[in-house]
Amino acid sequence: MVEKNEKYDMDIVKCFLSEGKELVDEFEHVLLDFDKGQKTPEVIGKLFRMMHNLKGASKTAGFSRLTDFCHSIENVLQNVRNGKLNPSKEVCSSLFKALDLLKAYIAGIGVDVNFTTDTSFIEKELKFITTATVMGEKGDQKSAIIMTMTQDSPVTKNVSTIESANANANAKPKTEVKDVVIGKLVEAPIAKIAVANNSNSISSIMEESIVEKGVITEDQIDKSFQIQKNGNGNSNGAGAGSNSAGTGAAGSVREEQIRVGLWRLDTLINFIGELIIYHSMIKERTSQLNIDDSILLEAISYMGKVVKEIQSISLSLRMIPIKSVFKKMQRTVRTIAELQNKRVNFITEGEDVELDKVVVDMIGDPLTHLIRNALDHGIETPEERIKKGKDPEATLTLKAEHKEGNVYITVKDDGRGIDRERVWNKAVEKGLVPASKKRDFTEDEMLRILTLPGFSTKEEVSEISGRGVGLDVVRTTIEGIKGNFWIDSTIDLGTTFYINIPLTLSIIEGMVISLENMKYVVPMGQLVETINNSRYITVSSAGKGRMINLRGEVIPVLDLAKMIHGSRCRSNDDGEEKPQADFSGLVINYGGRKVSLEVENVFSQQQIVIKNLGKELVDIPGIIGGFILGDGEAGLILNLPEIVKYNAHLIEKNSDKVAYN
Amino acid sequence: MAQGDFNLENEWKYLIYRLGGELYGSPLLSVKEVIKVVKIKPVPYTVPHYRGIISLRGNIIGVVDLRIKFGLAPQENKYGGNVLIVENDEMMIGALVDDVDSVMALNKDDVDLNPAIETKIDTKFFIGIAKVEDSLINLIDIAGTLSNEDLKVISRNRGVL
Repeated sequence: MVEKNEKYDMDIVKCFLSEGKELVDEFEHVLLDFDKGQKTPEVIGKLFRMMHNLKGASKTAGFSRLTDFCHSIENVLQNVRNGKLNPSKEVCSSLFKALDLLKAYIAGIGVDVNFTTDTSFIEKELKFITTATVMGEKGDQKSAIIMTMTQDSPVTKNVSTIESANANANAKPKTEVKDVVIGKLVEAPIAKIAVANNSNSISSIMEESIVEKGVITEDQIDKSFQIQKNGNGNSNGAGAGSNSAGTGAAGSVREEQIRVGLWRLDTLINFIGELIIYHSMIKERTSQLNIDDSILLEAISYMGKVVKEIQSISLSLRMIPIKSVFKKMQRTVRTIAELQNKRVNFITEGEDVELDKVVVDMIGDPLTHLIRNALDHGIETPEERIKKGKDPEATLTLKAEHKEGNVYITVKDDGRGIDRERVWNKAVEKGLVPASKKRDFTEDEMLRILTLPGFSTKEEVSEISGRGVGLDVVRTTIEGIKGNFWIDSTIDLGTTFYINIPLTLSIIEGMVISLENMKYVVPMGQLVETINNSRYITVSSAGKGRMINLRGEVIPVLDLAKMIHGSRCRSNDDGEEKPQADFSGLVINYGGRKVSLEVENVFSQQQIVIKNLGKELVDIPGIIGGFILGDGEAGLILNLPEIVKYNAHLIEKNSDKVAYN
Repeated sequence: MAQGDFNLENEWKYLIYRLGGELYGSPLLSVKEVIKVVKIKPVPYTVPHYRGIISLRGNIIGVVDLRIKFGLAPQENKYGGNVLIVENDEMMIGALVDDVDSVMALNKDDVDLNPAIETKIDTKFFIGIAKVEDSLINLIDIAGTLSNEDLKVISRNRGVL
C-alpha cells in the first residue's frame, strides 16, 4: 500500500499505479502481436503511444527515474517507427525484458513510493540496440557487451535498497509484493552467471529467468492491486473514477469504462440474489392468501421482470473474456520454445469466450502448467521431428469454446504423445499403483495415473516442468472450480488436455423437483429429458428391477428419494410390481446409457443462485451446493451422476435386467 | 473469551437450555443468536446428528441435533425447539435444542469441574456440572464441540433420515 509521502501526491500516485498497470498489460498484449509478425505501422504506433502515455503518467506522478526508463524504451520504439531499426526477434526480446522490469518497478512503487530499482543494465542494452543496429554493427559484438554489462550489474545494491525500504515501511501486511520483487532481483545474478558461462544463449536464459519471476510477480501484483482496492473502500472509488477520466483524457480510444472493486460487485450480486428470493416470497404469499388485487398483482409481476433483468445484468458483470490468460500463455510459449530450441506454432482460438472472473483468475496457473508440459514433455526438437517425418514446426493449440452450458478448454499438441507403458511402469516403481492390478486399468485410467500426486516421468527434473507436482495440482485446481480434467494421447500424434468448467460459479440453470415433499434442484446440464406426470407403461420385470418404456427404449428406473434419503423411502425394496400411472422422472446419461430417476414432482426450470454450504459438507458426495427457495427454505443442488455412482449397486442390479430384456 | 477458557476467578454468563428433560448450559458469548426452528432440510450421506440445513437471512447454515450428538433419544416432534447459532473460528453452525431456558451467571462455587459421571460428551468440551437450587446443569463448550472433527465424517450409511 502506498504510504503518506510529502514528495508525492498520493492521489496521483494511485491513479498512476492503476493506469500504469493497465498500460503495461496492454503493451504486453500488443507487443506479443508485434512479435508474432504484426509489424504494421499501426501496431508500432500503438506501442509507441502507450509507452509515451506511461512516460507522461510517470512524469506527472513524479517518478523521474521511471520516466527516464520509459524514455529509453520509447527511443527504441521511435527508431522502429522511423524505420531506422529493424524489429528483429532480438529487439523484441529486449523489449520484453524491459517490460518485465517495468512491471516490477511499478509493483515496487505500489509497495513503497520511494522504491527505485536499477534499470541500467536493460537501459544499456536498449541503448545498444538502438545505436548498434542503426550504425550497422554486428550481433556477436552485442552479446559481448551485454555480457560485460550484466556482470557489473549492481544487483546487490538493489536488494539492499528494497530491504531498507522494507524496514522503513510501516508494519503493514503488504510485504508479499516486496518479497517477490526481492526474489526477482536475487534471482537476477544467477541468470547473469549463466550468461557469463554460456554466451550463446544469453538472451534466452536471461529472459527466461526474468519471465519465470515475471509470471509470478505479475500474479502477485494483480493480487496486491485487489487488496489495495478492497482495503481502500470509498476513497479508492473516487480514485478509480478519476483514473478512468484520466485515461480518457490521455487520448486513448476505448469504450468508456469504470473500475469497480470486486467486493462491491459481489455484494451487489448477493443482494440481488436476496432480492430475487424476497420477490418470490411476496409472489407466493399473495397467491397463498388469495389476494385478488389487480394493481398489486400487476406490480408484482412487473417487478418480477425487472428483477430478472437485473439478475442477468448482475451476472454478466462478473464475466470477463479469457483473452488475458491466453495472452499470457503466448508469452510463456515464446519463452520456453526459445529456451528449448523448439519451433512451435502457437494457435489460440476462442479468446472472446467469457468466464467468471474468479474462474479466469484460477485457470491461469493450470493452463501455464499444461502449456509447459506440452512444450517440455510433448513437443520434440525440430531434428527429432524431421526424423519422424513430421513438420519441424510443432503446432500447439489452445482453444476455448462454449458447449452445453460449460466452457471447454483444450491444450493440444502434435508431439510425441504419452507412452502408457512407461507411465504404468513408473507408477509401479513409485508405488502409486499395485503392479498386479494392471489389467483393471483402462487406457484412459492409465493416463489418469499422471494426475496422481507425486508422479513425474521425466528422468531429470527440468526447469520447465517435471517437479512431480504437476498434473495433480492441475486436476485439483480444476476440480476446485467444479470442473473436470482429463487427458487423451496417441503416441507420435500428440496429447490433448481437456478442461471442462462451468461458466460461472454463482448461478446454474436448474430444474426444481421434489422428493418426499422436499424441494431439490438438479442442474439442467445433467438432464437428457424430464418425464412429467406422463402415463408411461411401467414394464415390470421379474425380480427387483423396474423399467419404463421410453418411446420404445426400455430403461431402468431408480428411486431418487431412496438413493438420497436412505431407508425412509416410499417404494418398497422388494420391487413388487407397481403399476404407476403418474410417473415423474428425470432421464440422465450415466456411463453411456440412459437411466431414469423417479421423483415425486418435476416443477419448473429456473435460474438458481448457488449458495455455499458449510465447510462440514465439502466432502459429501452428490451435492453441488445449496439454494434458497422463494419461501425462504434452504435446499440442495444435486449432482445426479455422482448420486447414481454412489448407489452403483442399484443400477448394476437393474442393468442385468436390461441385458435380459 | 477463548472458547472453553473457563476462568473460575470470574463469573461467566451461561445460556441454559433443555435437552431431553435435562438442563445444559454453554457460554453465552459463543452463541450468536437463538432462532425458532424452521424446516430443516436433511443432507444425504452425513452423520446421524447432522440434521440438515436451514436458511438464515440468505445464508445456508448446517444444524446439528445436540440430542443425538450427546447420545440422548431423538426429539419426537421434528420441528419443535430452538436453534442456537454458534460461531467459532471455523464456521457458523446451528445447534438444535429442545428449548431455551434462561441466561444465568455462574461462579466458582456453583460448578463441579470433575464430576463423577459418565457422558457421551467429549471430556475436552465438558466444562463441568453446575448445581443451581435443586437442579444440575451440564456445562458444555458448545463452540468447541461443534467444531469437533466428527462433523466432517461422511456417514457411509446410505441416507440419514
